[in-house]
Amino acid sequence: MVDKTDRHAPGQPGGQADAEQSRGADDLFADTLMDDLFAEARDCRPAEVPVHLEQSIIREAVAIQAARAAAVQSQGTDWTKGRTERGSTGLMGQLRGVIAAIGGWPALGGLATASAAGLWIGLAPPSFIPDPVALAGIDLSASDLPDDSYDLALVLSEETE
Amino acid sequence: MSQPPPTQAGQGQACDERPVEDPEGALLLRFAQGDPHVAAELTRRLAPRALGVAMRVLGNRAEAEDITQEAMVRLWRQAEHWEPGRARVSTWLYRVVMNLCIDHKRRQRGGHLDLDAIPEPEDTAQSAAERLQDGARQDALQSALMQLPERQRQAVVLRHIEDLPNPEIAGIMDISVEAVESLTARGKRALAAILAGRRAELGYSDG
Repeated sequence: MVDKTDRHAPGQPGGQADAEQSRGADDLFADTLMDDLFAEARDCRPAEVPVHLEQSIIREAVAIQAARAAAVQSQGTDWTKGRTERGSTGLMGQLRGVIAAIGGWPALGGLATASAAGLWIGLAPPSFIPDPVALAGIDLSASDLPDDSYDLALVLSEETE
Repeated sequence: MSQPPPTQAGQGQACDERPVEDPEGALLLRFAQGDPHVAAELTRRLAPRALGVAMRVLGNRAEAEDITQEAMVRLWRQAEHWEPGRARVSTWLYRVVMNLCIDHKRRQRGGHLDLDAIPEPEDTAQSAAERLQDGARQDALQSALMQLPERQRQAVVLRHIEDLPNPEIAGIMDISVEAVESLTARGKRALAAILAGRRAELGYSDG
């Protein structure tokens, strides 16, 4: 840090050499003074942070962490954004996504009921609509069914006649 | 406003790509992942450094506390974007503190108050003997520091009081290492010149 080179150049007249020597002493003092003061400054205890400031800084940290956690959570409930989340990949993940898209398990129950009703209407049409089974040329009668079978469509068609 | 992380070598220098050791960086990553216990630890480690350097640069404790709080809040906000190994958290924080100090001074000058132009008030109530105490010597140093131009003061504080290496200071101040060397050398000479007339007060005998 201290540059002590070329302070006393050779071959100079005596007066200049004295002046140079005096300036060298001044420089040496200045270096010593500054090095001492800097060393004392470094040895000083670290700045003491007041409790109110420390608490305020930590409160800000907690608030920012909470806001970030809330943002991440809200992203997680939106299934279209949850592709990278755990459990959202693979067949089960896609299935969960489809179920969620149509309204969850209650909607799936309604879909099952509607499907059963459609099947019933298809197999047991009202009397004014031609029977698709008969149109296909299939003679469906009790004799065609095994004795122990229970055909819901047959029972219902008999009741409607 | 997010502060880009400083490089270790400063602007225009060849970057050393080796990751830097940084225990505070590991803590900051845990903070970003939601660990609720590390904020206090990071505050305990970093806030005193921020406050200390801000006090040296601003010469005012209340203003330095405001700067410290703002710098720490910026640290929390940018935690999720932290790139481990690129720079030390402390380096980043020093940089934010220094920039906030400069902004603060600029705002004050905008209000027609140039603190650099105002010499520190002399305390004539104390005797020379009382001034020999370390506290008085540090007051004299602080008073002299406040007479330096802003960037010289920052460089001197970072180099000689915070004891940081020149490449790190270059990263903090966004200048070359050569510019850091020039600023610190000129700043040290200027301080010595300011304090030269106060040898007796500082406990040195003439001659």
